[in-house]
Parts: sequence; C-alpha cells; structure tokens
Amino acid sequence: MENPNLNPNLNPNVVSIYAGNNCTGEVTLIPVMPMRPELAQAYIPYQIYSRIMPAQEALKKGTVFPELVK
Amino acid sequence: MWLYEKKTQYPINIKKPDPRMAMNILTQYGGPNGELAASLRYLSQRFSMPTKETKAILNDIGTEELAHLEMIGTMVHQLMDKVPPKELERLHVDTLYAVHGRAVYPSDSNGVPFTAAYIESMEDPIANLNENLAAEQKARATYEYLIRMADDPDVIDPLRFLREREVVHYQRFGEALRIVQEVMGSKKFY
Ligand SMILES: [Fe+2]
Repeated sequence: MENPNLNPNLNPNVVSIYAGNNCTGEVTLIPVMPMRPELAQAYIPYQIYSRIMPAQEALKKGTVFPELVK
Repeated sequence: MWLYEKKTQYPINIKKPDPRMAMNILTQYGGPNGELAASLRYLSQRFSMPTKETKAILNDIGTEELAHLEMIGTMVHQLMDKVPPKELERLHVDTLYAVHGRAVYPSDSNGVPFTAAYIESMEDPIANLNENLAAEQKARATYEYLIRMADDPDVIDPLRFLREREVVHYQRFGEALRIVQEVMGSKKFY
C-alpha cells in the first residue's frame, strides 16, 4: 500500500471494490471523492456502506440503505 | 439468461379504476423516460463496459427496469380494466381506446409509439454512463410529476417505490462512472 491516503485501513473515506462475489477476487480502491479531480469530468461520491434497514421497511422505502432515502 | 418470478417487484393492487391516471402513467411504459427505454438502454450498453463490476451494474439495473416495466404495465391495466367505453369517452381517454382498446401498448401518454431513438448505446463507456445519469434523473422527475397528479394511495405507493429506485440507480451509475474513471484514469484513449 504505497499511498496511505488510499489505504482503507488508514482512511475511512476509501471503499474497496471486489471483482468477485463475497469480497473475493481483484480489489480496486476508490476514494469517496477523487483525490485529484479533473476538469470536464462528472463525479458522484462513492457510497460507504453502513447499516441496512429491515426487509419490510426497505421494501416500503425502495432501498435497504437509509442514507439513500431521498 | 433470466429466471422469472411470478410476482411484481412491489405489490400492486389498485381497487379503483382511473383511466386518466392510466393514460398519464403509460408514458413510463413506452415513453422517452420510461422503463422499456431504460431496460433496453442498459442491457445493450453492458457489452461495452470495460470492467466486470460495471458490466454487472448495467446488467442488474437493466434487469430491474424490466421488472419496473411489468409493474407499470400492471398499473395501467388495473386502472383501465373493465371501464365502459362511454366512460372512457367522458374522461377524454377515448382516442387511446379507438387505437388499442383497453390494451397495454408501449407508447407515451399521447399515444406516440415507443422508438429505440429514445436511447443510445456507444462504445465509449463514459458517454454511456453520463447518458444513464441523465436518464435516471429524468425518470425520477417523471415519477414526481405522476405522484403530484395521483390521489389514490394504491397508485401513489408503487410510484413512490419506483421513484426511489431511480434515486438508487443514479447513485449506482455514478459509482460505475467512478470505477471507469479510476481504472482507466492512467490510460489515454486519443
Ligand atoms: Fe432506473
């Protein structure tokens, strides 16, 4: 891990993405917002997963993620 | 391939017919910001996505949009079902009846038939993902218009569910865009 800013253990604003199911396979590290944003590009903040809602409530809301209820 | 589940993604049980609302909701079946356009757009674009994750995101969302198409078709059908033609005439929904009867046909609310010209599928994944963000925002806005016009909770609840799914899809396409930017960031393609 060359860059400590890109280490998910040191930086809570970095998300690990796995190519396989159940956190297996090649991993890509994505910061919540880009470290070096470029002009003429659109950026959406990456979601950090936290708690999920119970199934019945999630069906009613349309998502299991409370932070995405808008 | 697909596995079919014999139920809608969100339960739909409309007791009170409302042909005007059926005609309004019809645009989400075969209109420019509708579910058919969304599903065909993502299921076609998925082949040109550069990573496994982004292919999977388009495949999953495209599949879900087909489930939304089924929900919208169910709503239109239940809102139009068994309404007498004279009543359709009184409510000014008779021009749709003259063309299709009370069938569910992929058109917008004005009867303009569905066309693949509503969608794009390019080899450039950044171009595709920018289109998809716009498509999700337009679908969300359409559901907001429909919710404002509806007054039956049996109609409003599934519309609110579909609106929230567009919010989630927007976020996922944004993340797909981030993956493409990060993974391909070092390479230049021109
Ligand atoms: Fe969507």
